[in-house]
Amino acid sequence: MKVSYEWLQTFFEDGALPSVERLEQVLMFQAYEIEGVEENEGTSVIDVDVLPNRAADSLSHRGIAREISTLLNIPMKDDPLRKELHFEPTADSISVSLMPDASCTYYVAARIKGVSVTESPDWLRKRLAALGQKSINNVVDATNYVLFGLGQPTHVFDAAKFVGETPKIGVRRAKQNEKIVLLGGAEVTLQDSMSVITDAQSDTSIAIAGVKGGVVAEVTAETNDILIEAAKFDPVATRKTAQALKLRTDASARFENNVADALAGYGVQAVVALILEIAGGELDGYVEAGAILEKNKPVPVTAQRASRLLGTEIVEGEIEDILTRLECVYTKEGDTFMVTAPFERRDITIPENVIEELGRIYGYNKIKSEQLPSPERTPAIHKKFGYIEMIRNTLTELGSTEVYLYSLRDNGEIALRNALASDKDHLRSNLADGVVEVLDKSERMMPLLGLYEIVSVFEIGDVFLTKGEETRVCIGVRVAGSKKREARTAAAFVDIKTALEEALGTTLPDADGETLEFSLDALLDTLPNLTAYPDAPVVSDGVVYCASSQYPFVLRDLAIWVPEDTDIEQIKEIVNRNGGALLKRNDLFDTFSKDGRTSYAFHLVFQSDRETLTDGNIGVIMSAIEHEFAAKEGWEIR
Amino acid sequence: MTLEKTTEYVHPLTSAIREIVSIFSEMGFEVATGPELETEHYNFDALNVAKDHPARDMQDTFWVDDTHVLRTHDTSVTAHKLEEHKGAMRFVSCGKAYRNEATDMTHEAQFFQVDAFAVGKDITMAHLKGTLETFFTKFLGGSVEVRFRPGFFPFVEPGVEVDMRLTDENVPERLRNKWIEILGAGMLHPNVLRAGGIDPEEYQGWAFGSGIERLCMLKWGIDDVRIFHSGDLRFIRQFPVTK
Repeated sequence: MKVSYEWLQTFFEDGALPSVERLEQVLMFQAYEIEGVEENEGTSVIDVDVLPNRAADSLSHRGIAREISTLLNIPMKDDPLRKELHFEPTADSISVSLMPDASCTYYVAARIKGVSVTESPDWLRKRLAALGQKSINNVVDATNYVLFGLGQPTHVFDAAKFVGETPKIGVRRAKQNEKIVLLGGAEVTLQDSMSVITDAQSDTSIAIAGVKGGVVAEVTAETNDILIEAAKFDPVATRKTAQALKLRTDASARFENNVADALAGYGVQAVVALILEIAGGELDGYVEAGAILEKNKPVPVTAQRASRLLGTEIVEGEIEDILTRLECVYTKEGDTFMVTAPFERRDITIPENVIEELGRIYGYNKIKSEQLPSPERTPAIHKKFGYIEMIRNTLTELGSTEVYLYSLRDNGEIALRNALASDKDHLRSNLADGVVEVLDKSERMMPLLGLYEIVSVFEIGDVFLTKGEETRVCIGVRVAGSKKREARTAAAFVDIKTALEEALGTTLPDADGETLEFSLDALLDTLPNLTAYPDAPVVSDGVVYCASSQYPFVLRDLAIWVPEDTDIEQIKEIVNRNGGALLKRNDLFDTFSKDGRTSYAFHLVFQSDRETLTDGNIGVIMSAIEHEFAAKEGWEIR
Repeated sequence: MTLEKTTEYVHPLTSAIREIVSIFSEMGFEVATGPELETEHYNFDALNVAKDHPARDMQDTFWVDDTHVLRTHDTSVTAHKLEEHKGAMRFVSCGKAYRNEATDMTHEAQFFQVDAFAVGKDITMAHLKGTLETFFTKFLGGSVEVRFRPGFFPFVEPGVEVDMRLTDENVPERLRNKWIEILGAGMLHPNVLRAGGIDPEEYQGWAFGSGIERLCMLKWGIDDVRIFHSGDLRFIRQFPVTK
């Protein structure tokens, strides 16, 4: 909600409102979230993100002004919602009928004859412009002004477009597939769960209840006889309608947050007053239909309970002060305050709601942190977590790498009703499919990982079957090269299985090709309880992550004979210096000695963070290395 | 050994979960887990998320049928534990949660959440503050300040947004002296306690929940949440373990 500082000031005596910076701070730490502040139309505009529980009372300048008044303890000059309402005169020239199954429980209508629909005065255009709202005409602007000023959405119809001399407004359920053309020209198709406002005599729909008006009774430059609507529309019905039609409007946003029933009356009177002032005409009168159903009830709270929950002492005098600033009405019964919130606050219905008000206004910053007392229960060891840790440690020590993969896949036993994408419309029924995909990807980058023979990954996670959800373990192995693939894979799984069986003290099923997957839940029943969690190694201190290069890497092997007493660091230094930033890895993979000489062989992995490397790039580096090697006594490239 | 021996690496999520469990275990918290495919009851009703609450709408939640969802928060585990244990208790759970939303660098359809809660006769918001200070100090290192701002979550009242700031000189520059919005917390709503069969007049407690990926991103300077679940070994093998 955009809030103009200049508009806020009108609710206070001159000079009473502190700076924008101070307001921002106070509102952020004691009431709402603040998205930012911008300058517009010569004033500061604060973007206030009102929390859902405060949306009923705070989506308006008056609501924010009221909150500022409470928090800073500065009185409002003139609170429009603290006036007595009188709907006089009563109009005989309009009638309103509400169908009981429609989404409206309370409706106030007013009729003004003889208005002149023209441009709005400058002050009004400017105030709306500051919020990014376009001026339409003086009558429509008046309704927008009241919406952003008081938080009550209202609507104006052209009375002349109703059938008959005495317009009859109706609120009923829409017919299934009923069509309505909205202001702006779009046609929408309605469902019978939605409600509409009608010209009751012709049964024509003229607006979608609580959401948006239609063109049938639109106010135009020729309009001089108007009907003003202010009503209470059901929050859930309004939200569902706005959502189904993808038509979330400033009006529907307020109704769906359950603005107070009684606000309708304040809204209609404010619109009437403003239209009479800026568009002229004469008030015919008001008519009410339905009833104000909701009324705030007294909520009991004690200082002892508030202090116990907040963890800081709040004395009764403090509570009385805060309740007064909130304009709550309270009585004292023994130690208990019976607190009734002002009508527009819809969020204070249980003691904890009052305690939240006390906490934030008193200041959460006054709560001093405390350590928890000793626990009453000795924490039990979670068997499943313990065994998961044991399996992780065993596999990690063997050189396998843990992965976490997506549960949503393109196939599985259980489908989603509302998927994000067709390749993510099922819950996985196994882990192996994902693990094999990781092996495929990993195999192509093995040298970058410092792996040249074999890569192994594992996942521990849940799968979803028609018989239920279960936690599984899946280990995958991929060997490089085509030589003896199956035998090498099988040999790797022998090691993995042996190590796991030894750690767990049980037998496991055999691998199926490149994966070994088993249910941990099924296994768990057969395993003894643990008395402590296994060791849990964590990431070393000082690790800082670097994003991986998106460019391909190049692998070159380098082998050299050197005299037996040569320090290997001497070789590495030459390679690393010439390789520079492009040399990502330098892995020694073979060493042997013969006739007073030693052979060292290295895998060199080159990759740029900026470009695809060419043979030319690498050739320059390799030549430089070889050139330096050749200059050394007794060194010979193999 | 047929697997190639290299340095041992640990997935940052695993490392974070281990640290979380270890820090909270020392404070008397027990590990808890629960199903990812959850009933509407434990994911919503028992947590005071009303039938007509917008969070139940299709765009936020993955539904499997009329009554089952992929849990939208790990807080469903809290609902189970309250019901199982009644009186005083402390639990920490780290698990996968799901949101039906478009993914980008800071949003994922699946993510890990840590949820912790403490219930007792006199467990207060002051204990919440103290526990979080201890947690952040141990998890991120250095001196930490914690502050509360008003927040709203259906399962707590009062509800707060928690910011923290690290102040030590040895804290990485990207974190030093900056207030960071880190998690949501509050005092368990009486309806939540009642749903677990606990009398809110007798017992009270706090709860908080935070994304584990987000904690990892802060700790290690990771900029894209999607990499955690990608299975990209170039990422995971940047995190060697200390033994």
